[in-house]
Amino acid sequence: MIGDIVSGSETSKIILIEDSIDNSGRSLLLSYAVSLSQRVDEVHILLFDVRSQDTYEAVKSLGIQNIRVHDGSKDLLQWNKTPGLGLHTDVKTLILRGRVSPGTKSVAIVIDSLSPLLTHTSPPYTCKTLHGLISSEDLESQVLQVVSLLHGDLHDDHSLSLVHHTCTTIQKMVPVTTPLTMYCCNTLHKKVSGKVIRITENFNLLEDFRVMDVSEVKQVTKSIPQDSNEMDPTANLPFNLSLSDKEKEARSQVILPYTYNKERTLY
Amino acid sequence: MATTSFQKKARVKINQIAGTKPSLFNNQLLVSSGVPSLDNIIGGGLAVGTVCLVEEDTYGNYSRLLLKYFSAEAAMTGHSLVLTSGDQDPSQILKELPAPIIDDPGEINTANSAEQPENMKIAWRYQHLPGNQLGHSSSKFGHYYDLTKVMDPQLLTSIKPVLIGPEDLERGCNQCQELNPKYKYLLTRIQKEIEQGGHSTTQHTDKRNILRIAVHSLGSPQWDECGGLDLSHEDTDFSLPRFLLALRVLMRSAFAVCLITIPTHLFQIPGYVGRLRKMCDTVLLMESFAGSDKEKNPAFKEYHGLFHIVQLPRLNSLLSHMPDTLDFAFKLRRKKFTIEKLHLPPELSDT
Repeated sequence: MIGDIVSGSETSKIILIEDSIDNSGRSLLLSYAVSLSQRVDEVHILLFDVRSQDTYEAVKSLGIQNIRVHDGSKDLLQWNKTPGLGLHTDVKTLILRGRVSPGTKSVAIVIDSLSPLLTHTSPPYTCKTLHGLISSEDLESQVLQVVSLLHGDLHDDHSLSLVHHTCTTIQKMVPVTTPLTMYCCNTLHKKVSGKVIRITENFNLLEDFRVMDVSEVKQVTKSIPQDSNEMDPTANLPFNLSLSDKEKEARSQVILPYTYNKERTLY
Repeated sequence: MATTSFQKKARVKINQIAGTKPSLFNNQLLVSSGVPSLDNIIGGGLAVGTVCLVEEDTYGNYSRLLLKYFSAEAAMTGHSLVLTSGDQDPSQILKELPAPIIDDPGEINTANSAEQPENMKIAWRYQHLPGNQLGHSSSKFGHYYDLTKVMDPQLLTSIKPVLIGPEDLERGCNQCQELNPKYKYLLTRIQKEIEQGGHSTTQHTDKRNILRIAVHSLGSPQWDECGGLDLSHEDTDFSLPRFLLALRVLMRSAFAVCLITIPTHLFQIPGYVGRLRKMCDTVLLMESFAGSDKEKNPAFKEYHGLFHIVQLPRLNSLLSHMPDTLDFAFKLRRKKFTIEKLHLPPELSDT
């Protein structure tokens, strides 16, 4: 499942990666960015976190051409009135200005992370921002996907539930169950058809951030012991309950009471 | 409700509005909700002049389906329609309305008479009675729809639906002290529609028509609603109950029916959802099994979710309609959506 979502075979408009201090989701976010760079014309990465300098370094080291990084972590609330990205800037106009070539058809946006936005502004503002990013109104090209990272342990359940309501795929990083794999995540995917899939999977990430070795974590349930000694109650009886062919034919020819016949007589 | 073969001796000529029927219990004017099985449960249909609240299931799919049935019923009966959504463009919802299953009445009549002697072997005494779906009323109440097909857009344009989408809400709202600006804007638009369409009870028109108002996912974060909390996250924001109260006032003096879906699972303040329920007339709750543990329960194998009737209104009477059971479940087949009484299997061998 996770391989499908990252590679794009499963379409999902707004993806949320929820991590915590013990289980980091930043590498998964980068794997999304790498995979998206192969599918869309431009990937725009917005940095809001203090730790997102690591993301910046990693992206630079990969050297992919069509990834644009917008760093907003230096002056989030724009107290120093620096131009560029802040929490309240209109992201779409920023993307339009930083456009590489004017003829781009599809754009993807990766946000690292959504937590400062959720902390400093109200949850409806965050939800509306996410929802607004996916609609391609002010932008000339189509926004294929918005992937964002959110630190689940920084926010209360209520704000998290509002953000979850807005997203179509939610991937929560959980502790690994087997020593063979590095990461494990619990995915909730809402398909366009209305079906909802919830699955927990272990996976590995290579150096170039490709997803490998996906294996599902199966819940261990108590198996019901099969009753193999089921007795056939019609065996070993002193009388005969089965019908011969002639008897079956005679049975089908019996006229049931209250059925219609020409004389309107009752049986 | 089964049609009876009883016919009144004196035919009183009432100026009947298309797509409505008087209730069999208290003569209240009723309108179909679009799902005939739902109409049967809530006492015949939705009463004109009331607000029906549908509490959404966790992922909102089935409540959106109910809204589509409601809008499709508007197109079939020729009622005016106002459709609002904060999450998506309402024209998208209109493009997905199910197509009606229209039985050709001419065909059925000839087929019935030809089959007469051979049809029923045991119940032959009942053959002369009319079949189930042939109502003797001229405009049918409650239509059946086929979910695999999409409604013909021409049928929709004939009723000229009014669509209020997220952009209209953003642009139209002004700062307001007592109420969330988007709710205020929606109220003013609804009031304008009632007056312009001649649906108010104070206006006298020769041809009365019903206005159906369908609001999708009111109170979601796209409406600037923080789950009942105001901006400081400490006090409760009473915009939504106030909106519902004002809406009910508008409905009472108009020939209109309103169906609202609210994602109440997002409201975590205790008692808030209770307030919302008291402000509406009919309250229904859909609990889907998708993504929850109940999906694997063998008792619920055939169904896709539970359907709860939380509240039924007492309109001009002391008692509300009481269905014979309160355990209902819904199932979504490929072609249709039905709400049925929950039948538990007689024996659960695994538990």
